[in-house]
Amino acid sequence: MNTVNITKKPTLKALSGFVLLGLSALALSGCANKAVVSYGDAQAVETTDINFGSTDLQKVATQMTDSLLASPVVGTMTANTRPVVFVERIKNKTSEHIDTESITDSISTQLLRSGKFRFVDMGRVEAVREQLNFQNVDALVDPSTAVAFGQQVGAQYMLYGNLSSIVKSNEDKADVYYKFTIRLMDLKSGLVEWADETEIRKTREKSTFGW
Amino acid sequence: MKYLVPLLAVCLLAACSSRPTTSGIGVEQASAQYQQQLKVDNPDLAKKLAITDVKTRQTNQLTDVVVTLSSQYKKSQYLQYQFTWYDADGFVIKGNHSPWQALTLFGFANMQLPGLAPTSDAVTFSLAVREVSTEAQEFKK
Repeated sequence: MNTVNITKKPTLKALSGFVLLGLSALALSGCANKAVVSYGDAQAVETTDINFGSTDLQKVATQMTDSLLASPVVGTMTANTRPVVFVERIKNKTSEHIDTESITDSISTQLLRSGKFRFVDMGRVEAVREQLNFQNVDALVDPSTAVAFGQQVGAQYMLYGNLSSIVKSNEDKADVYYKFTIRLMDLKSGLVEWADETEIRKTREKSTFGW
Repeated sequence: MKYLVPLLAVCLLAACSSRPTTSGIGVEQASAQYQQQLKVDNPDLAKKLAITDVKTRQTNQLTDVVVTLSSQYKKSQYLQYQFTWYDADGFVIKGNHSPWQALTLFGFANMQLPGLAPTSDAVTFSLAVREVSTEAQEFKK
């Protein structure tokens, strides 16, 4: 009589208990918090947080370069010559720490690569002076090969700009608006020959799913 | 108890589905004869989105292009696009890293995506548009 009790079918409650246990084990093994290192796409859209990020930098640099290269004024300016430009700086007027030199580096690299402009680099003046001093003063260098002083080309245009932001937030939502303005000034006349601006809006909201 | 198991399964699936679909639709300008080739890798997205026009012209000796995207869906779509440029021999322009750019396309709206060749060597292009779920992005405080 006892054997009847052993072969008795398990109840629904017991069965669902087993299923629950199995599912939890599966979930734990699948979603385990392991550290995995992988290479990502450097050009991918990055939305880790609301702060100024790589996507914003790339967007600003690409849009400003495209706008400058496509403008009619630049078409006239670069028709027969490659103007020499000096990059002043992008003033960071936001509340964040942003490496604006990285933005101007991207813009000047893209402009140089287009073959339309040439650049002088004020950031390396001391290094150049040191090298020319060495070549002209030090007896180690053959004077016939030394680069003489006073032959560098002066910049005709200056590239400069501003990056500003408006940040607003409440308990559920945060919103940041960036405005990037860039200008190209003719150093001889002081006229601003070209200007453009681009805007970025980023919003963070609490997600419905996830923990 | 009876409802707990399926409910838990749904929750787990929702939490673990962290890999977004990244295939989309695109256009390739394969040759100098302006032969546009529309390529659809994601039919679900193609139902909601269409490329209706491709225009090219020369601006300051650079190839200038606009591609018109047209939404066929009532809700906003959160998309990304990327141009890739090629020279006359079909080689990708070296050193040019055009980024994926985020784009919000409102319901039934049309939008022109502008692209400018990075150098005068770049004569043909390809454009890729994809949908990546940004709404479900998790943020931790």
